Amino acid sequence: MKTPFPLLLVLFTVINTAAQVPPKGPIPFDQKWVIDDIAYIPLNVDKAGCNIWGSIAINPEGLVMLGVANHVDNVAMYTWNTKKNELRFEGDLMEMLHMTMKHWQSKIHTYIHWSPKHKKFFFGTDAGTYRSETILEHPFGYIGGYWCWFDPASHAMGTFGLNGMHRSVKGCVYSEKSGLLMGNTDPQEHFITCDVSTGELNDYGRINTLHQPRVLFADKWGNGYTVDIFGELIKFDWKKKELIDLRVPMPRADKTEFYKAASGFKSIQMMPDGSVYGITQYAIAFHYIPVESGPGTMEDLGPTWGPDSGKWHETYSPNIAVIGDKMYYGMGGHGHYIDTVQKDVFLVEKDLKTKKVRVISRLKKIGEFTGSGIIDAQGNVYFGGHGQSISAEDAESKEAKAVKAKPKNDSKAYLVRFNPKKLAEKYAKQYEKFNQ
Amino acid sequence: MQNSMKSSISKAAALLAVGLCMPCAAQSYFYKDFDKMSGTQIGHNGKYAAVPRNENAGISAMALAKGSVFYGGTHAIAGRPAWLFEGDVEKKDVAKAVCLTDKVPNQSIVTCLKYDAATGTVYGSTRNLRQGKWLPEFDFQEITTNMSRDENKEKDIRPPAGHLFMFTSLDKITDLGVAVDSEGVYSFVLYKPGNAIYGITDHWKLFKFDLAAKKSKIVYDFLPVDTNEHNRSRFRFFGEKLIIDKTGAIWGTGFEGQFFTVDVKKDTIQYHDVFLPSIRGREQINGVQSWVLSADSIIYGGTRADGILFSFDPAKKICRNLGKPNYSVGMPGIAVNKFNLVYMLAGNRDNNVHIMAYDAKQHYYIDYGVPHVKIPAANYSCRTFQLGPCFFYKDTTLVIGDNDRDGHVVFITTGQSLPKQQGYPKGE
Repeated sequence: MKTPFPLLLVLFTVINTAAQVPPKGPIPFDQKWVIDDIAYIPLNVDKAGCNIWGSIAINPEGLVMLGVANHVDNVAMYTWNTKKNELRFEGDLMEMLHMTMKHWQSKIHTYIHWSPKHKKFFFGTDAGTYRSETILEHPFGYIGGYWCWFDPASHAMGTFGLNGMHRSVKGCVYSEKSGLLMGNTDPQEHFITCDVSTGELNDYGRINTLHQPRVLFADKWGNGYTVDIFGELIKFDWKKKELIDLRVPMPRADKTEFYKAASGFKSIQMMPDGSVYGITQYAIAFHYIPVESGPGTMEDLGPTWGPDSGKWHETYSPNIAVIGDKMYYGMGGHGHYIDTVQKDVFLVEKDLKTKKVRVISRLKKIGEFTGSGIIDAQGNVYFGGHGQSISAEDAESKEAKAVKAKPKNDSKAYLVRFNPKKLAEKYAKQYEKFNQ
Repeated sequence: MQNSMKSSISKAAALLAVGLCMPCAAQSYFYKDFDKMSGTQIGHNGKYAAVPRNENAGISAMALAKGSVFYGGTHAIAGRPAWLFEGDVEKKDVAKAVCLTDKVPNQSIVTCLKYDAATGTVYGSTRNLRQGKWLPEFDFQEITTNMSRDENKEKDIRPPAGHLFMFTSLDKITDLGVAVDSEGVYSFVLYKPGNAIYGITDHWKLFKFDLAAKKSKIVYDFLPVDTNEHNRSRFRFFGEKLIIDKTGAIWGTGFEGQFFTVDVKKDTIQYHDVFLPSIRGREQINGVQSWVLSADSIIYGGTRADGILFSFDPAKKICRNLGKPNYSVGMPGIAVNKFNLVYMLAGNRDNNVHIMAYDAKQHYYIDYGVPHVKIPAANYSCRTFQLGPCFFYKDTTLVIGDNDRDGHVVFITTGQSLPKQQGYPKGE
């Protein structure tokens, strides 16, 4: 049977015109974006499941960089200038890296890190699909993730090379002290370091086959930290080039299944004093103070929701912003919601001294918050926000169609900006009923 | 000239005929779960493994010894010492692990273990990789060792030579010394009538090690000189495994996958007019990666270049192509039980390895995929992507070594027949 050529041509034209091409130039702030003192800055990617995982960062000049995944074949890169209040579409990752479909990447799953010395953002790329990563049976195959840099001054992007055959970069941290990007792979969770000045790549072996922790952190001595299969901290000593079992368990509520412990923490904020604040996969906040040698101090800050003792409620918070003695985070996403009917994200404030929590806002437009420690000079907090995530594989399933059919869920990604102090003053009272 | 052409055409026709006879071999299931599968960490001791994390130990060799006891050896990154461990198939645990560091010095990979039932002794061999950067995107192990032979000869950057060793228990390991100077050992066979070890080095030399005199001798060099100025010969590979058939003959594969036997009297090799199956044009890099002798004296094996499963009848000298079970190259492990079920680990180190089974009577494959293994003693489960050696215990328990770093031993209870395959024509 012959396929008529004109029909193909028409199809091709239709597909091309239907694909939305976001404008390149700066888009000024629009007051319409603000609902209840929260700005939802739209990122014009309209493919299903457009998703910002941890791929959001800010540099000291106040430039927010973020990547929006489409879970199919591309990642849209945006920057937001917090001083000028302007959005800019930097380009699509595949085109910026001059990649063809042989090298397709559909997600940035790592956090993005700014290097003051190199004046670049560093991150790694990911396949973002179960078939290519967990069971390695993607119909087109997946070559593996790349270690990348982005220079906001020249708007250029490049790579340090492949992370490994068929393996994504799932999480990474950058330390200016050691000059190393330290990350892990999916599948197999090998601990990998990439030297940003030489491009040297080293594999330090498998440490957590069950789950690939998405977030890593570094201390002020240049060492990296992640979690092993038992849910305990592993330190990478960059001088000795060795992994060290710290045997420091992540704080665990009782009956936390081992597979959740293995997935470690979902959000981390590295503080100027060298300590870190974070939230585990099973929603316990913690404060960890690393030391140069030895296990360091792990402080349990209690669950992110519910009373301090007694019943523990599992929520999901892949985001965190610590300002002063207050910790802010959004709860909800990946099937874990407090309000199981509406499935809204609640913005919560935790007092680090009293460990008490209170709801300060209920988000109107999104189903999940991502990003950690994105705070500008004015005290505004930025998070990546998106609707309920639909992966490319089940985009056609009944469930995904139901999610898409919801009027609230417009399947778009947003850069969400708010001032937590203002929100707390203005809106905390109307959410008091949730605090009990 | 014409004659040889004719014979090659008839050979091709015969191969085609064999191929046509087995149309069912190409069919396979996608991902079938085992009912009973569990695993253990190397040297599991409560919660933590006995082999330290930085040793990065994947399992590269295993051998069943007396009763249900088995021994294994690990594959560490260059510069780190290899470990030996002792386990029990019945208990499904690995209880003891010993570092080779002060017993057989400077060895990082245990490549082969063989059990001699008559004396209760386990023999082993080692090899090493060059130290330096380990690039995960390519496994340079073969290429670098061969390159060091050609271009870097003057620089002398070869890794330490591989040793042979023996032990009756892990407390008493005896170093037998270097097999071939500056070369590592891929594998060996125990030749009891001559009280000798015949082995293949990673620079493609067949050697004989006299166990009484403890002296080594090169029997055959598969890659004697690099005459080509571009040194393309370094990209040639040969069979890395030897096997002894029912009659006691030692088999191997040499240039372009041609089968040979070792002439133990003259200490040379004899090529036979039978070749390994290969994808056309890849013969130069082909060789046996793993093979096993079945109870009815047929040899089943897999090729390294293409991962083709073949059967070889040493008496009739017929090699049959049984198809390419997985899309990736290589077959690091193979085991066969008395029910004529061939279990293979199809794939290579940097790709994912599928456990696959082949029914040698009904001629069909089952793909068990990348296994998801429960580790009951440590209360977790994991996926094992890189599987290495395997063997059968009492024809019903398949024991597999996980070759990824931080390795596990996987125990799988197998039945007497494979699950029925979808779409397989009934009555055949």
